[in-house]
Amino acid sequence: MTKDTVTALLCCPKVITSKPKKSMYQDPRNNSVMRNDFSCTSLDGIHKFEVFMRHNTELPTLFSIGLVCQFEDKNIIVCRYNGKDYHKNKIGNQDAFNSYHIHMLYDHQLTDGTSNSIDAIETDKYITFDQALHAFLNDCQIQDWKDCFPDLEHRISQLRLGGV
Amino acid sequence: MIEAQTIARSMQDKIRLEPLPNGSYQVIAPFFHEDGDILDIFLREHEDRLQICDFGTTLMRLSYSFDINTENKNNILSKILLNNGVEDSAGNFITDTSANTFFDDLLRYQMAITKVCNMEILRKEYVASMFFEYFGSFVIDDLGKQFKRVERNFKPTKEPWFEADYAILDNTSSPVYIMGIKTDLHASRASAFCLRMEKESQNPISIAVHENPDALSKRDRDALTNAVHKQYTSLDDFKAKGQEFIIKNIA
Repeated sequence: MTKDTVTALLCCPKVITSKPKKSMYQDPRNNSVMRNDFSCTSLDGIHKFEVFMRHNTELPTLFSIGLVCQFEDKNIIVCRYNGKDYHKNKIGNQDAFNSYHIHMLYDHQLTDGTSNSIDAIETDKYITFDQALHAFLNDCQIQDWKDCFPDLEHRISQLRLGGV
Repeated sequence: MIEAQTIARSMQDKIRLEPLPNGSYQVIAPFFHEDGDILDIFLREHEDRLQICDFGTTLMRLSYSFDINTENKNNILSKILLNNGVEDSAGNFITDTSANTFFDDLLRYQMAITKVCNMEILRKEYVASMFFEYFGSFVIDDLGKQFKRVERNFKPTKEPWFEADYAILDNTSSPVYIMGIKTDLHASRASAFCLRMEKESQNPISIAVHENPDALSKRDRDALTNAVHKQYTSLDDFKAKGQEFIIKNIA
């Protein structure tokens, strides 16, 4: 089972087409969640994406940042950077863990109707929402993210100084 | 032979509680979302009540692809929660429980959470894909009760490329042809059909029922407007007024 197509979607250079709000804001329907969203397009204009960011205020280790690819007849979450939680894979293996993890589809799942079942791997790239966002924006090659998140690197460096 | 004791033993210790920094407990149980993440369910003491809750995680997950942002969606959500004994406290889904009833309450609660997560099936692309199914169901089941002769995939000239989705032939000198319009291709086929029927010197009534006229290109939308006799901009509109129009015109 390959991930070449999904990896190409993830890693193709992108530019932001519809900016996020200046900061995360409380979900009007849910007092426990801060959220934000933006749109982006691949530099060649072929692929369109939506990005969602969600952070639970009651349980700060629960967050999710996802890349949604827009196809002609459907939208599919191709990868998702998740906070710390229990997870058990179903597609590629039966790995189970309780840690920060990154979900990513296999190529066949883009067309065979199983895109809701998205396996994950454990990660040590981040332990906070800001660190996950930084990793996501860079991994997804969003070229102009610093225009929309000007304080992000500063906040992460403060965490490092604080020993987190 | 069913190894009942082995099966019973295998179910022991499958549910446990893990303490959290905020004073509540996470319920660790073999209930997973489709993507493999565990159902986020918690147990807390709140104002002298023992409660199962989710701290807003269910709506948070749903919001990745679907927002509860209309009265209709809120009504559907409320129904799911009400029918499963769950309250919505500003996005935190809660249900009261006790040490003695916890297991039963947990099973009921996780069923509610799962149903809420499945609300994403109301996403536009899922509903859009049902347009022809709902359209056909109305013509055959509802109009079929009013009119004697309702034909599907009707070719008036027997030519395979000129076809109406449905035809009402109660009055053969005034046939009614009904076409569902979802894409530019549907619109251009319907336009070609109507122009062909005019050349046949028939006196047909042609009806176009749109899923969403704004989704069409201006060129195809204008061509259809010039060719077809009557248009309904939505299936709901056709359901409300279509039967009356047809009765009036085949009389």
